[in-house]
Formats: sequence, structure tokens, C-alpha cells
Amino acid sequence: MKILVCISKSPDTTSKIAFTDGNSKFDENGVQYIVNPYDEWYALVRALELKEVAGGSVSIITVGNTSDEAVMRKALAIGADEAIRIDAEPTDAYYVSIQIAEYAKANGFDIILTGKETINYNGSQVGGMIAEGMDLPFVSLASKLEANGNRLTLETEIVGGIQIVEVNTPAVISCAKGMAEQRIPNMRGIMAARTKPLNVVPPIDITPLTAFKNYTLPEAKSACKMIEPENMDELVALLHNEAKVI
Amino acid sequence: MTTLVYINSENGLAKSAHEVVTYAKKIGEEVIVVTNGSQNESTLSELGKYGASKVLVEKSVSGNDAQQLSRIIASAVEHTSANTIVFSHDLVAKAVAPRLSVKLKAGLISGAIEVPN
Repeated sequence: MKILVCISKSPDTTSKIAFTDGNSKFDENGVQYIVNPYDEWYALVRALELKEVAGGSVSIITVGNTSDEAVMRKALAIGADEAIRIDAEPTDAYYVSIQIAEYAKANGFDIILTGKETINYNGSQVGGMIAEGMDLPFVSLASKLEANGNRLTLETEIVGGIQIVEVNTPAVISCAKGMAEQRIPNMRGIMAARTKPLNVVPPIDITPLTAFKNYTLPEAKSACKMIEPENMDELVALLHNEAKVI
Repeated sequence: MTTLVYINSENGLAKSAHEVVTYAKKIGEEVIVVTNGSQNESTLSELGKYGASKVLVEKSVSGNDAQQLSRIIASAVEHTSANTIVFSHDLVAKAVAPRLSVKLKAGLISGAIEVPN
């Protein structure tokens, strides 16, 4: 089974978030990047588990520049066989998805896995866009994936419950919590990752559909007011007059 | 200007269906709803109170298969000449909206919290 896992970098959750160029660009100074957790913990690890059972290969792909190679090496250290970097700025989800879709079409994968979203943009867009770009079925937010030959059985969340879905490969799946357990790369994996192939592929010509105009930080939380437990009247007055919730 | 709203009405009309029609009414002069499944007319006509002028129902498609739903909505876009399509930010939309974006080559904004300028 030939599996492609889409990898994105995300700022570490402890990063200080700031913007530059009149709040039109994310300030990357001092930011430590990690593999987007949904891509790593769920999509990549489940892909490796499937390969361990049924054989085949696991490739990772990202759209980005040379600064993305550190997180790609981490994905290789966890166990991916090869990495593909499409050498372009990941302008928007459409641009990224069609770049990946075109590469995947040309290279014939059985399963394409993505995380359910990135933790920095929370868009949940790339999986569905790749599927449409390749005219393949798409199973969104899968929390369980079993493969039997070319037949995949998945569990996905729906309103009020869980849905069991069956689909034939090739297919695109976005992976949510429950799909797999995190794996920590061991020293052997880290050493092996240095020599695994990381292929740089030129982008195709695509016009993005959206552009980021500017960013703003959420409003700072106001200070917490402490009220004595016996002073119920003051609490009610504050909730009514200041918080305006009652 | 026509705004098309997709509503999943498989289990009746959720509160989010009212919210999304209200939101769409703030964007466009005319709001047309597209849905699928077997909800009856009286349930769907409730959307008129929130600003919908018309509801298009595809009764032959039930369930939430993203490939089928994106085809239905694309067909409704062609039929109505809508220039904006609005979804609730829910599980079905997360599967359907990206497909539709590529199919129509239309930009997709996820999780909008304000009406566009």
C-alpha cells in the first residue's frame, strides 16, 4: 500500500504570537516550529501502522521552503520512508491542495492522509480540496481507519454520534483524535532520517483564491475581580451592570 | 445579489440553520437555501422568517456524502447565479465546502465571524 501523508508546520503552542509589516505577516522571529500535531500524531502514525501490517511505503509531502525541512526530517525520524517538498510559499489552502493533488495524481498513491486541520489556521480545507482536485472520495474527520485490501473502513464523527464509512482506495482521509497514539522518534530513527530521501519538486503554476490582508490579536482578558462569598449583592450588580450577562 | 445557503436538514432544522440564513441575509439581497433529504414543506418554510426567499430541495440525495452534496450545491449555484455560498461551520460543511471551493474555483473562508465588507 502506497500512502502519502500531508505535513504542515505549525508554531509550537508556547510561541509568542506577533505580526509584522503593518500586521499583514506573521512574525517568525524566535518561533519554534513543530509538525502540525494532527498531521503527526494521527495521520503519519496511522500510516506507519498500516504499512507495518500490510507493507508498502509512507511518503510525506509539504508545500514550503527550505525552513520546512527541519519538521520534515522529524517526520522521517518517526518512520516515513521519503519526503517530498514542493518548493513554494504555501499561499492559501487552494494553492497548497492543488499542488499536492497534481503530485499525487502523477505518482499514484492508494491513500492520502491529512490531519483534520492545522493548529494555526484551523481551516479543515486541504483534505477536501485535494480530494476534489483528484476527483477522489473524501472521508472527513476520521477517528478510526482499518484497511482490508483496497477496502477501507472508517469511523467519523457526525452530529449526535459516530458513522461507519466504507470506501475503496484510492481515497483521501482527514484524521482526527483517536486515529493513533503519538510516537516519539528514537535515536535510530533520528540518525536514519538524515539519509532518507528528501526530494524537492518545482511547483506548478496556480493562482491562489484567497489572500491574508491583516491579522489582529484577540483582546487581552480583563483583570479578574474577586468578590467575597457573602457579598452576593455586589456580585449580582457586577454581572448585571458590567458583564451584562444577567 | 443572491446568496446561496446550504443547510443540512436531515434531522430537522438546527438552530444553526436559522443563524446561517440570518447571516446570509446580511450579505445579500436575496437568500436562497439549498438542502437535501425528505424534510416537509412546513418545516423548511420556517426559514422564510429568517430571510430566505426560496428553498431548493434535492429529495433524491440523503446522507452527507461530500461528493454528492458538492455537486448539488454547484448545480444550485449555476441555477441561481449566486455569487456567495454560506455554510454553518459544522462537520458536514468541513467536508463539503472545500470540495465546492475547488469545483467552482471560489475562495473559501473558514469560520467567519463577521459579515464581509
